[in-house]
Amino acid sequence: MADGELVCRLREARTEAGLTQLELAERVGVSRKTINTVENGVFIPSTLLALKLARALGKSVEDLFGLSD
Amino acid sequence: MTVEIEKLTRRRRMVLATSGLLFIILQPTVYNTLDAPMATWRAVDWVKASSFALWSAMLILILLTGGFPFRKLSQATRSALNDELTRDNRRVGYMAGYWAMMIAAAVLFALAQADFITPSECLRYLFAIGVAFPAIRFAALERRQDG
Repeated sequence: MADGELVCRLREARTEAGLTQLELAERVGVSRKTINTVENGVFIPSTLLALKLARALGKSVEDLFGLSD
Repeated sequence: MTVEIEKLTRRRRMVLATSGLLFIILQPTVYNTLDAPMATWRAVDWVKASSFALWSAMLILILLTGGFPFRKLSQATRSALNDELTRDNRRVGYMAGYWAMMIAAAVLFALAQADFITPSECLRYLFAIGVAFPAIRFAALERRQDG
């Protein structure tokens, strides 16, 4: 992975919280597809959505997203 | 709520893909009589012109609103149907529509110069591509992301 690329740990955090993609989608008010594309790195969420995801999972945004070294 | 959203997004994708494709396919066959002067139109041509206008408006409206503009939906459902991934897909769809229109304009210009088609046909085809292509591209993106 190249330096400075987005690393997404959403799937791990969601699984750890015992939630399905559908349940997480409902909590943050988006479609399941949006959660799926964020987890697969296809779609980079906005700051607002990242904050909502972090709040729904009881984590900080940095726990869910980071930059590769 | 999310199960309903899943169903609605699938339906929106199907409508935009099939309707957009049909809209383009029918241009050279069904709607070709609209290129004659309006004074020569028969009743059937007025029906065709109305269906052309209504169909265009529906495709534009579905894409613009996130779908189901006349259906009573909760604010949360409507918001999830038009979430940021949907808005991003729509942006990509519009960009694809822009490039499709640019390429079509160049091809149609060459065809019109060679007298293969009339300026009226050129405009109708350009409009149809501008309406249908973003819808088809949007549906294709939604389908790919539905994993």
